[in-house]
Amino acid sequence: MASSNRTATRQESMVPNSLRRSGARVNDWVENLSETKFAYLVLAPTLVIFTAIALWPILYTFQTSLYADSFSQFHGAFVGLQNYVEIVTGQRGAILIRPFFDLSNPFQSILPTTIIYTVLSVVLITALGFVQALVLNKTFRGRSIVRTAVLIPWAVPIVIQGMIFYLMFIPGGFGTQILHDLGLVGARPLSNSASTVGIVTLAAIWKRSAYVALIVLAGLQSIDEHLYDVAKVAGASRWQQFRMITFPQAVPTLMVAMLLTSIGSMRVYGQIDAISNCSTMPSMTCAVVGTFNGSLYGTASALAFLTALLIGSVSMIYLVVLSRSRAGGI
Amino acid sequence: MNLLSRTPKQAVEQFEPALHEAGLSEDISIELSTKTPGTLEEQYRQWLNAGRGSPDILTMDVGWSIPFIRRGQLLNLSKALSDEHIQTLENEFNAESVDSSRGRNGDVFGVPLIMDVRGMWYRRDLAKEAGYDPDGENWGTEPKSWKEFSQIAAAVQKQQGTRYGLTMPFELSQTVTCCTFNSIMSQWGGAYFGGQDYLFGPVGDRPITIDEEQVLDSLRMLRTFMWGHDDQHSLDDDSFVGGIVPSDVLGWRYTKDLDAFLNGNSFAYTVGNPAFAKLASSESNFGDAVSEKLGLMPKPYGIRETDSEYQNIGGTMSPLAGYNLSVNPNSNKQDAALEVLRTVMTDDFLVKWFKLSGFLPPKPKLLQTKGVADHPLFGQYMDTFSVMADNVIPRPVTPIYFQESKVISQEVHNVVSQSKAPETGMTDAKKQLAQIEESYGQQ
Repeated sequence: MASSNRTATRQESMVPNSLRRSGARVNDWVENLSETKFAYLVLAPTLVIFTAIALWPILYTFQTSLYADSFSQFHGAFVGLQNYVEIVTGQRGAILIRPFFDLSNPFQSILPTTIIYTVLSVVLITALGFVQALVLNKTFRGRSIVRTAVLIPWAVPIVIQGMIFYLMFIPGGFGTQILHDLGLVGARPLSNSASTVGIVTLAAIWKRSAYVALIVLAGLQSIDEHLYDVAKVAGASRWQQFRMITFPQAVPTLMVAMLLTSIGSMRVYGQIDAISNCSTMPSMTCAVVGTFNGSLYGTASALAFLTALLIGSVSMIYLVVLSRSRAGGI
Repeated sequence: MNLLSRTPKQAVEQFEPALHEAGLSEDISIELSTKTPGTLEEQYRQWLNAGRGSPDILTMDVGWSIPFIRRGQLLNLSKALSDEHIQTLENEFNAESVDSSRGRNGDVFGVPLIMDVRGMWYRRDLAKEAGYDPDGENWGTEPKSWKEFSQIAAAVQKQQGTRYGLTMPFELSQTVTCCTFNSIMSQWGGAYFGGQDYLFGPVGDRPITIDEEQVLDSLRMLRTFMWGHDDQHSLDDDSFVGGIVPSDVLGWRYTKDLDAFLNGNSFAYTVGNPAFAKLASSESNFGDAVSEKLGLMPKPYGIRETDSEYQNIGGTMSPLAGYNLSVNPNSNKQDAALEVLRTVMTDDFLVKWFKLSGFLPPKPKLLQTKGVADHPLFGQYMDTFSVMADNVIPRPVTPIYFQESKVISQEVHNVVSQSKAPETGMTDAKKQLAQIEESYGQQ
């Protein structure tokens, strides 16, 4: 024991005094940090690594988007923002096969189709998911079976799901016959852009509403039961309880669900490809993959960066609204 | 699509032993990769763009190679193989298969492994019952006109009660451009870009002929077959019988189309290769009776080749599919890879591979050799395959083929599905193709 103490003392004596003093200052600085600042300090290395991993591909994509397409090499000549200008102003219509932004034919133009599909799917998926969550939040016999049944579509692989909907909506398919008899689609719905958007939306609802239901259900189960007890004592009806307690309390969770659904809808590819071969529904991602497969890397990168910008912008809007709602602003 | 996913398991297992039997050094072993997360073409693009050294050998679809060649991502075999081997490729292999792996200066970058040519499969038994004599009339080697074929198909359909006369995959996809429509248009003497001379470029400096009358006639015929003569854009000639092709095919992929034929619902079927015949002979389909039930004839023609404006276009024509083997220029085992390619080129290996896999050898002379023609199931069709091998039409692959094929598929589909008149659809296609060619003609 005495020997080890002597060793420690000898080691300490080998550390210069100036270094020992600065170490002590760092210790004091850390000790004086607030809990929040200390948490940030501890998280900083991880944040730096994650940021680097997430940012590098985006920055590399942006860099590639500044070069012209070339068939003989990966990068053509440096053209600055020309790829973006030509895409947005419609000069790349022939290369993209479809116009990028043409409101006169929204279902056959890339950006409007993406926005229409996103809005439709987010609204319908959230609404249905919310209803499912409300049902699953009730106690009833066989609830666990119903929960499992609701989750099955979510577990089906996208390609399988795509094939199911493709087979349903080919000429003579089960879904085609029903919707055609109702006068909602033609005999070949997957040959028509508008009805293809509808079918892909239907597929998205089938698959993703369960996921939203799970998220919202978690939110509903965190609502304080005492609020309902008080409301009952005050004589509130079920509708009033829903309007004044359930819905407002569920809004933050619904916002999170809508954010995730929006991101999923804006970057959807597998479903569209499996159902329509990306032929009749020209989404942003189909355009990215289409140009990439054509070895048009500059154009593909510009489209990919535009898609990332779109998703980032929409996410920021959601996050601002979400933070306001949490702060009681809405 | 991964080639190996469509290859019989036994053939995959015997690939390496077959090469050793054909003379490949025992020091060289081969590991076949059968798993890819996406399509093989996408996977190659990622690997080669990243400069990966493996795989050493790449199975390239005849419709993929050219963009890779243009980016310098395949080994130049004209420099790596001996003159003798290059001469063998030039003289003995199917010319179109070799051309699908050529650079702009004519150098070769691939060795054909499979030549997939396609005739018209039909129900020989039903034709006989309807009073025809396919064997006596040499249906297997003497192409019929589309007019005559439509009459036969309609007669069999009516007499034998089959649901359809003919099925073909016509879903809105690149299959329309590469294969289904490419061959039908060519059988009428039409071409996307002015004939065989311009199939592989030069981009931006070749005629765009998709709106010419021959192409419009082929579309009018398809509308007649699908919608009958009530269609205002059908052929004027009433001797072409309408209503033999269900309009449902506008949404059918290969499998749905194939099912209709194998289930006995259709008299004829326009695609398929020997591997398909293997499927047809399965117990759940034609079984032991496959030889009597399954007939193969060359594809019908719209006009004779002698009446065509373009050389080697018109008459019976088959779309060309198949795979070539190329070498990864980043491989550190190039010598071994080239040794494999040299062995693949031998007759011994190609015949053995055909017997194992059912895929046609890319040397046309082998189709008439005893080893191939004696095959118990496929042997009887080799004369027809020889006719088709002499009349193949490749797809017009250039670095911008992907974009152009989407335009062509879309507009052809618009016309055949009655969304546009033939003239309007093809004029629109020509405008879009011109824009694409102009945008990328300088590269």
